[in-house]
Amino acid sequence: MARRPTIALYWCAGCGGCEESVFDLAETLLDVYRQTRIVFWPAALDARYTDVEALADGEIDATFINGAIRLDHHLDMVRLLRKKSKCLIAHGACAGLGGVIGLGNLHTAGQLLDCAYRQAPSIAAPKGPLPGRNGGAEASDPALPELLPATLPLDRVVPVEASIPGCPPTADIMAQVFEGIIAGHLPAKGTVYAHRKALCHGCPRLDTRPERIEISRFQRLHETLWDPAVCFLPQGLICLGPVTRGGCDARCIQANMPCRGCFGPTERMDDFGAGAISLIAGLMADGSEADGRALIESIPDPTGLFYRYSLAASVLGKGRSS
Amino acid sequence: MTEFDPTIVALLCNWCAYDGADAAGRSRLAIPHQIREVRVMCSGQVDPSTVLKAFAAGADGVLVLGCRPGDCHYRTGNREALKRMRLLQAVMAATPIHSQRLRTDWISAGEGDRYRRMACDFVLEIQALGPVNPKGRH
Amino acid sequence: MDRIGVFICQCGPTLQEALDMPALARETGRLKDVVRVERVSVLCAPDVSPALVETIRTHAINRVVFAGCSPREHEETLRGIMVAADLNPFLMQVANIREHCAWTIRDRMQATGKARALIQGAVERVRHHRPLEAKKIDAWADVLVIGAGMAGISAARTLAQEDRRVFLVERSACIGGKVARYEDLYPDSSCAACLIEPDLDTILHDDRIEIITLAQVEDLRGRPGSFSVSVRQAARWVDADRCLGCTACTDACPVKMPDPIRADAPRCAAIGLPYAGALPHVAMIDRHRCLRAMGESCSICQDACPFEAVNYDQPDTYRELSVGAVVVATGFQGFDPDREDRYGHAERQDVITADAFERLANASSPTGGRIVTADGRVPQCVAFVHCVGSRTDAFNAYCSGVCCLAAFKHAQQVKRQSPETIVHHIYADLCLPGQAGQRFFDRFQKQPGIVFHRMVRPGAVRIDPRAATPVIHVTGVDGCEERVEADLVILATALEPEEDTDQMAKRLDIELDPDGFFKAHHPVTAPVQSSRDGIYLAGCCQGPKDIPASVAQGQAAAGCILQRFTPGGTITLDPVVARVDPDLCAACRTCLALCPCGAISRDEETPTARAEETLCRGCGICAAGCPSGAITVDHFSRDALHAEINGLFDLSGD
Repeated sequence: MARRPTIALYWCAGCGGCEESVFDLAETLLDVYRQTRIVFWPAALDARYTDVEALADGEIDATFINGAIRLDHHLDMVRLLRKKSKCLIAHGACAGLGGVIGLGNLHTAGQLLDCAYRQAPSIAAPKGPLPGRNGGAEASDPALPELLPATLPLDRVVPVEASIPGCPPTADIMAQVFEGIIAGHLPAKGTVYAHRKALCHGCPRLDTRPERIEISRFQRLHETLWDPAVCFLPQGLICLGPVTRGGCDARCIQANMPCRGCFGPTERMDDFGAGAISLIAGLMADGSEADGRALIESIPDPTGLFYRYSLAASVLGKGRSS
Repeated sequence: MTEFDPTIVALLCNWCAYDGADAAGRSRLAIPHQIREVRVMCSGQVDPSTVLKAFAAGADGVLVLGCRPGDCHYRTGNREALKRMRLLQAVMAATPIHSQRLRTDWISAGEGDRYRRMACDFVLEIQALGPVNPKGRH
Repeated sequence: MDRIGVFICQCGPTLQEALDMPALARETGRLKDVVRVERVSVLCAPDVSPALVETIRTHAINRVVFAGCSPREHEETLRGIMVAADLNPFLMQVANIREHCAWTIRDRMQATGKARALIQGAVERVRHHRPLEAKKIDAWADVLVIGAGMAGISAARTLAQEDRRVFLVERSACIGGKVARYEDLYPDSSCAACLIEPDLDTILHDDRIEIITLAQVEDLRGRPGSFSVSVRQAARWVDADRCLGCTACTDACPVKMPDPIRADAPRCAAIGLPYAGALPHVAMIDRHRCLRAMGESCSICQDACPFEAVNYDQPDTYRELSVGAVVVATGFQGFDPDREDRYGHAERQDVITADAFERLANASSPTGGRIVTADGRVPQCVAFVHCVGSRTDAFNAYCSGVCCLAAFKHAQQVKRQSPETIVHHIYADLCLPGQAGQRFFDRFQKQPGIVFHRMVRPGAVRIDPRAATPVIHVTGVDGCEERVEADLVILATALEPEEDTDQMAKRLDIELDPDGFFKAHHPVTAPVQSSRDGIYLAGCCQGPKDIPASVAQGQAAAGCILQRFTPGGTITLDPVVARVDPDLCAACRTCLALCPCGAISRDEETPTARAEETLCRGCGICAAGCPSGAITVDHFSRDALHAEINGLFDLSGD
């Protein structure tokens, strides 16, 4: 493409971190801006929904969508953007796997609203209107988008060509993605901007991991002082590096924190939590039934720990069958 | 009132559990029709993603049946399976898929009647729990 | 392009009654890529095969689903049909619509519904199968026998052939085990030495049998037909080729240790034969007693040896043996009565175990085979306590089956030496198995001077540790206590597993039974096979038994090996094995500890994991445990199983 590629960036239910992953390009962002035509980017630019509608179908070369699909409004937006884009890129863990937002799928939408708008101790008007299409009794209560019954990853709603994992993705990866697009190469279908191998492959602590690990009790981070040069696993701390794609330069490990799996599963594992369970079960020491129970109880919230970023993509998070 | 007819996927190890199910057949015992048997070489071959795939495909309950403790043909397979399945159940506890929908147990070769009792009990339990997806499949 | 053929067995007429076959065939025919569905009268009948082959060829079928009885019945037969049709035998899948369907579901509609789901599952699965080739490797014909007791020797003798060597590895310095030190054998008091020594001599001179004494198996890797075994042999410090067993060294040795049996016996030296008559007839240095071994500069034995056979520099050696099969014949040990206070065995010289009695009564004992008390007197009264350590939950719940008859044999030996000696038998029940047992007992107890005392239960005795002569307090069946005084007490101890049996089990990766003996693959139908293919068991290491039974098991184990592992033969490797994808393996090492047979190792260079196909048994524990899904077991891949599960459900549209 001799012309500047047309790109769009949109955010659904997210924290803004993925937007920051773009801003983290710092000065390079200015080069990106000059070498592309950004037609829609609510976080940074003043474009309108109608501007997108006015585009021809497929006019946008690449659209980055971050955040999970949580509201009916998100469905409308991503379907529109799909129509107008050649290539849709799931940007970040929420778009790719449902992200942390997906943990909401442990409850119904009604329970979530009830908790936030009725049960929270700081609520002054517990009988006030719940956000939704119907608005409220007063004219000042606007119609708002409704919560979908469950959070969905992007690819459960529209076909997606590529994904950039991470919570958030690193600036290096973002730079690499933009570079490719600017050079005229849109990602082939199925591209994942991360390593194929799990994080251990690039982990500085790999050689300190013994062949046999038998844990009788898992530790939580606040319960122990761990050796910063040694693999977390033999020290009884749960690191999900073996389950998670590499590509982040093992930043958390280098900051002396265990991996929490934000880059998602490898290409052969369709359920991240399943891989985490395989890993952790493989570290558990043999023992009696009672020992086994105590061992499992030493992990206070296995659901949240293993599915922190990926619950919505799993059948356990009401993901639909593939 | 139509009673909910669940579908159960049963993963049976080749050496003991599958033969137990065969034994039930040879003795013409009545096994609930809701059970769908899948043969694996060892219960240790069953990984958590396979169990989850069963639920995703439409199973309302999953049985993982291996050899009696101490009798695993490969020595450690049933122990590893139990660790994985127990951990998976702990994970399921917080989710909409009730951890009781996964049951791990053992059947010795030739124990047709034990298989029958287990299958019948499990179907009743799952019927009481109702379907995984109350609005119907997909 | 998949072209799937489905053959539905009617199993004669039986399946047609239970299943709506026309509907089943019709529904199956609608599945994607199913080009042909046929109902076959009987799939396993040999005359049906040509027609099936014909159908496969005519319709260019390249994957097959057989719906019929359990794959455990006829999977091999069906693989044969594939081969006859020039298809790879692994491109097939069996749907069990008989044992799991027609035979268990009464309602025809429900049964047909399930059959349909099972067939659909098989169709989805068969798409994922890959053509697998079964490789052949050379089988090694040589055999390792561990333990040179009665069982091991009988195995070795039966196995040795022109083109098959036997390595007989023995932990102690001599062969023959415990029986070589017995005097009389039950039931007719035949001379043990006369019976056994010719056999021992034969194997010592048999070129096809290599005897490695003072040796232990350290490690065993591999699979049936190709085991690599590491053996460590401790040095005797005596050159076996030069030593004639003249005992000049023994006489010269300055170390004199007390004899383990008799305190008054002449002292033992640190160098010499382990016992008189030991074979091989070669001296050895006991490093626990030898002054030089403990740092002193003694070389008296070397100077005394007329043949320059003493060599202090002789090193321990390590050997790697390549064998096709292993026989474990490591024997038993007697229950240690010091584990209980009641027998006074530790405190009293005149309370001895049955094993000690055997050695005492042996003609080469310090007393010349005379059965006397610790102070050399002929005993006026000898008591035998049965069931020591047996038939009690505290120690061994089982009956060892040989010790009662051994006790009567011992009593017979006493009576023969001194007919006036009163013999007491303190027993709980009498175990007299075999054709000779009851007869032997009937003859024995007709003699005068034999008194029986029945305990209320095994172990209902107490021997006073401090009285001048042994006094046994027996609690009888009526609950009353009886005093039995004797000059010599022999404890008929239980037969237990050798103390390092569990270490051996770990090294060989074979299982133990609940009593700690090596576990037979099946107690009824496979008593000499261990839990691991290619490793066999013989003798008391598999469970207490008498000498004829041990000899028989040695021969039986040898028979199994002779039949299966032939010189020049090959072993076909099962192709259903694990494969690690090196492009996906992150070297996290999780799989290394999961493999139950040591088949997975780290490739030092890459350093990804690698599954060795000659060792892998295809269990899939590693594949299910790999956190990144880098390991696949061919034919049972995750994709294949997931496809089968998908197929079990109505997937229209998915």
